[in-house]
Amino acid sequence: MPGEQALVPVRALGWTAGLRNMLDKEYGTWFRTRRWLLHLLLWIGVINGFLMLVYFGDGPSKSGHHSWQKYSELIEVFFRVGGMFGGIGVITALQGAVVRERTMGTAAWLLTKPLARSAFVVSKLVANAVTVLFFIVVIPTVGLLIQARLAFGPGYPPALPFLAAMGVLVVHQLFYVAFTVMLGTLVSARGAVSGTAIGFLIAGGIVPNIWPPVLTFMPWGLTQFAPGMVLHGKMPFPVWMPVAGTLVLTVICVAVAVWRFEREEF
Amino acid sequence: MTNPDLAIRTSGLTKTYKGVEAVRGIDLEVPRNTIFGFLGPNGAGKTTTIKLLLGLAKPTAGGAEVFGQDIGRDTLEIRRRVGYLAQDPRYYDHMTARETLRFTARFFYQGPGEGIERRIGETLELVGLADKADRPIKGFSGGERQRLGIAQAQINQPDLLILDEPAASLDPMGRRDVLAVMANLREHTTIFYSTHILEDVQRVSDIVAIMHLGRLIAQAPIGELLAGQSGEVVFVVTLKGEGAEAQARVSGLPWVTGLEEQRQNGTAQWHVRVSDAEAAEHELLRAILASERVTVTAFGRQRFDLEEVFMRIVEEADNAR
Repeated sequence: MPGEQALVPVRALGWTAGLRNMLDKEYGTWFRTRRWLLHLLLWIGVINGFLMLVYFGDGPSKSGHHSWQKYSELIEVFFRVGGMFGGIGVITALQGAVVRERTMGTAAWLLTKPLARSAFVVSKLVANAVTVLFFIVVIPTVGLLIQARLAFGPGYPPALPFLAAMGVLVVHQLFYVAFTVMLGTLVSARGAVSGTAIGFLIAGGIVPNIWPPVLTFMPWGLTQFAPGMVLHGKMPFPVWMPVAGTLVLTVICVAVAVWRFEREEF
Repeated sequence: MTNPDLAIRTSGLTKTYKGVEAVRGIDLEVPRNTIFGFLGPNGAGKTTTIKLLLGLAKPTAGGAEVFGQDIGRDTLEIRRRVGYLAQDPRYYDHMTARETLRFTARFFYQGPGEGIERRIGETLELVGLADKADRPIKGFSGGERQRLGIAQAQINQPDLLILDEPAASLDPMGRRDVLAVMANLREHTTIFYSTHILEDVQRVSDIVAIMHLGRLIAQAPIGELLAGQSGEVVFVVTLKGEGAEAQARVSGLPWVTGLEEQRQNGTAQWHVRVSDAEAAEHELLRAILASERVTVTAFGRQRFDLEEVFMRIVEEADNAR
């Protein structure tokens, strides 16, 4: 038709083919449905609600200011709850991200379009990592900062140690994003994905009691050490060890997920 | 060697799942701009073959080319030029038909947005879903889902449209609509579709291939297939009168390979098998009418029903095992 502009073909080939479109779709499953609202309320309720319980747990302070002990408790609980419940939240939110697409048939449909298999996996990792970190880490952290500054005054928690501890929490949650997505490429049932991932998370409360050095390279120690970074600024051993160990495990999970999905037959 | 006239060419394409050969060394040739019916009973290996062509599964042995490109090495390039409708198409239920097509189109085109929306509108019109474009597909009927399936397969105006049992789950009206859409698209694209509904094949296909137990047991233009197999042609003659003399004369012709007679109510029907169809068309009727004792009331080449042909070929393949 005269004046009509021709459609411009997508040029990306190789491992990024279709990535942009998939990322847009993945964000859409969060933000073009009510899922975002559910997670916003859920994680404010769970993490910041827990903090409120701790804060008001023994009644209001007579002096108007709370003790160091109360502040410590708040920080401890934030990282413990954020780590354990947040980890479970990550697993629950992502348990079906790959499995559902494989079993429903939508993955097979997508892979008849010019979409690279690696782009499929990367889109699941990136979009879900950004989104769950926003809802499970960033939003509750803003809540904590508001709560702490109102209760203990400006300067609490100190910015740099707190940011470092937040980085540790982010690494922890990223590992569970990659681990859950990897499991989604390996097994064919959501229950198997969440059961295995939650089992691994819970094992963090058992295995270190049997063999403590495991904490120096596994993600299990991260949320135990993070409060100490904020409160004391010191660690039983260099914090980079479990951070580096967890990052290596995360990269391995991503590599396995891509490798496995490249070989998936539909 | 790549043949530019072929949309699909497979050579010794084989797929084995846990020791079971789903596809056994098939050699298939699909010419461009044809409607190619890929027939076979359930479990024949049709869907597996399609999955191999699309890169959803990897061949155990052999290979295939789509538009001269290798299905293993060039799968992304192939998928740019192909539209596919699955046997049981699944989409995201939270999306509307328009959103589904927009999402699909974005795998092929980066813009302009206005052009993409226009293409989506045209495609929705083509499949008759324009009035349901903005409803979530969760509530779509089987026929509507199938039409959406054709729309998403057609959104990139592909050079090759692969349809896996496009009419299997549809009522007669839905089937008629789908066949009409296929007929409309034949001018611009090659259509390769699998089915077990023989009536549909007879209505729209140019060429037919038959799969059975993972093997390709026949491939021919539909007219040739319906006229008879493997060079053997049968002429049907209906006649009245005393036919013994004519029968003797016909049986003596060098290209007649067999003659069967059925009698009913004073009328005889002969099935004359011949090895040279041209000679038979020219001389058979004359040879019969040379006898003044018979009157021929009907004469012509036997047209087989596709179901008959299909059943015979499948049975022959079973007997040959």
